[in-house]
Amino acid sequence: MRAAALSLLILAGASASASAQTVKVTPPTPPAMPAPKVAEVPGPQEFPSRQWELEVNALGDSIRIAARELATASKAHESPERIDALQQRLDALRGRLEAKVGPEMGRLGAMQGRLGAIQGRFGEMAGEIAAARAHAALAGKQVVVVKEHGDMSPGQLKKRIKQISGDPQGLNLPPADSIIDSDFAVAAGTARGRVAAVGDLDVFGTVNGDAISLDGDVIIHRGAHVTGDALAVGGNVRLDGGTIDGEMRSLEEPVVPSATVAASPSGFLSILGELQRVMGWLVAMVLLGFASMVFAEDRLRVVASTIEARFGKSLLWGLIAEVSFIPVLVLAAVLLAVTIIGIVLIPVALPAICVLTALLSVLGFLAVSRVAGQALTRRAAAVSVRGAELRSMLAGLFFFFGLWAAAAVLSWVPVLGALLHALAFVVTWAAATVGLGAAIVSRGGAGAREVAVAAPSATPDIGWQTPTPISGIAAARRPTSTTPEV
Amino acid sequence: MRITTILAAAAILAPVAAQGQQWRTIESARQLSGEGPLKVSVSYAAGKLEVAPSEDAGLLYQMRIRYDEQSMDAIHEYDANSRRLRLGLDKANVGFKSLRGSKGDRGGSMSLELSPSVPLDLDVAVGAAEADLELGGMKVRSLAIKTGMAGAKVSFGEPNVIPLDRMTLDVGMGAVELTELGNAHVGEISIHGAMGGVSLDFGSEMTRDVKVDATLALGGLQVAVPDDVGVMFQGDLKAAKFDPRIAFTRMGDAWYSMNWKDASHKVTIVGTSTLANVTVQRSER
Repeated sequence: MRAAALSLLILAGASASASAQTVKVTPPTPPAMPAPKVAEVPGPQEFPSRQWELEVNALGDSIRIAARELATASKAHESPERIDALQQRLDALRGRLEAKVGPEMGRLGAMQGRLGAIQGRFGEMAGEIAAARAHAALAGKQVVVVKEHGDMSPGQLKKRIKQISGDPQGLNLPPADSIIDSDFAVAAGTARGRVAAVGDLDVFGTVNGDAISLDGDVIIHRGAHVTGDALAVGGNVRLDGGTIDGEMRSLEEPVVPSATVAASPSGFLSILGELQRVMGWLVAMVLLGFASMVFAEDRLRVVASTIEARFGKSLLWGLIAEVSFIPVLVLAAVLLAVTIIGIVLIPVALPAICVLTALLSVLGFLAVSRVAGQALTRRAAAVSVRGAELRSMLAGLFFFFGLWAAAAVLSWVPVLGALLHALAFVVTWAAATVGLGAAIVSRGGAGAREVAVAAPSATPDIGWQTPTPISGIAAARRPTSTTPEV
Repeated sequence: MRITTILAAAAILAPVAAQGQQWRTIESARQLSGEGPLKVSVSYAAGKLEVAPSEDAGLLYQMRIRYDEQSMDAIHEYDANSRRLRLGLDKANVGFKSLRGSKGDRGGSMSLELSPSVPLDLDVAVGAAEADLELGGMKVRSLAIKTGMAGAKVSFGEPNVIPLDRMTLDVGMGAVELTELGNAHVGEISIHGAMGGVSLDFGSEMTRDVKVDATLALGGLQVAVPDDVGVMFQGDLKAAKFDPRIAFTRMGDAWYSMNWKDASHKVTIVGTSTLANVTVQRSER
């Protein structure tokens, strides 16, 4: 009995000591992990004292002696009075022992039950700690942790990651396959590397890097610390008492740069947009071409003839005009400022120079288009003269804007797209320069009409020649004088 | 008639080509760290720019910008070591976009709030943007404003906390109007004016003498000062005139206001002007 009681006492003391050590372990992951209620475990001063132990031992010795005397008296067949007296003494000692030990045994039983509960809780905590450590080890290897989001499929998530990484205003994220798809929280007292979440990202602890949220807010709570930037794509960065060393940035949506548009829907829309612009310019130039043929046909014809007859001179004058445009404007302003009338004319004259230059450029470009189209449609069927001129101009315009259209369609190809854009730019610039120069040389088509010897033929040269008889025609003889010279 | 018709057609059809804009909005902010002077460069091309002191004392700056991503890039760079901050827009450098250039970012806007507790060397460059700068209550140590096609309005509704040592105005086509300049505690103003005019209104009170060094062309200069402030003008005028609206007297090649000797503070205007009148008057504020 005593041994059992002492054993229980020792076990209880050892178990209580062990449970007191476990509560000092700080779980690495914060999620709602309630601490054990150690205050309910009795302290060492509440356990049976040494005096109690000595008294129990003394009672045990007395009971042993009384029992031995009772056995000896029974064997010796001593008087019944003696045996009854020894029996009564033994009962009295047993009663004293039970009175001494009984309450402590009840306490020990209750304590043992609580100890079992604590040991069970300790086991649960150990399991949670192990899981948290494994989670932390995994998160440490994969720096980005993404919170599960019901509306986003893995493919969409991958696309979003690519968009944000490619966006000049975004942040570079690791590949989607290195992202954990599970619940995550940066809790108080914990430190993490770069963290990203789909949805709201609440930071209570420390983030050693960037804190990123997709389709949610980044909320930096009191006591939290982010050493990098805080980025919210489709949300806001909210500062709730925490500290962010870097920048707080909020974007509406990530934008894919043109270099990575590839075959994505947004890239297709971008190509369509560029094609739309090219078509807009083409339509504008075609209409201006019609207007020119209606209202300034002769001028257009003269400029086109000037390009054919004086190409080098036209190019030279075009270059000179481009280089000297700004200086001419300044010079004109200064010269006009010399006189009072000139000062009044400045607001009119300077815009007029710009408008005149623009008109000459348009006229010249249309003429270049006609000349280029004439070469392209040389083998086309014969039509009227005006029809041929119109066809040539349209062919030329389609040629120049076709270059831009091709560049737009292939703009997603990294090198080829850039080369085609450069080619379209150079060809268009050269044509505009020659056209402007020819317009200047021909004084806007008003002068140098001698250049326009005749309208360009709509039909092959052979078409208007007199058919030659198969038999041929006799060469005319030069008239000779019949009068002898004196 | 023919020319007019062609011009009208061009004007009608020109907008057809101006399509394909992709607008986006970005918010950027940074917490205050350190009290040292900060050099802030703001560049903005077209749209509307607003600058004001921040109401949140814990922020170094807070910017909200809406722009066409197809032609421009947003800038928000901060160098903690050199204490430099660059904000605004820059021309996009993404492939062919750089060739197209800006298409007139008229729908864009930028609002910027700067910390009132940090000494600022503020450099603002606006192209075709309408700029509205309220710098009162801040610590502006130096100010440089460069305008292009559009104008700018700068106001010091509250006293500048520290003296503004030097202000530089590089004016393009648009007019620049500065009001309540007396609150700025500015000591020196340098003006390079082109087509746009410059208006300096010192408000009702000045706390120090000011020297204005102006080189003007075409645009005029208007200076409005409090009643107790004396003005001296000395300049080389070409096809322009000095137009005083208050009593002045000429001594040599300089003009002095009648209260010059007894003035509590003095404004000295020197420089050259071509086709730009210089006007001095009393402030109505």
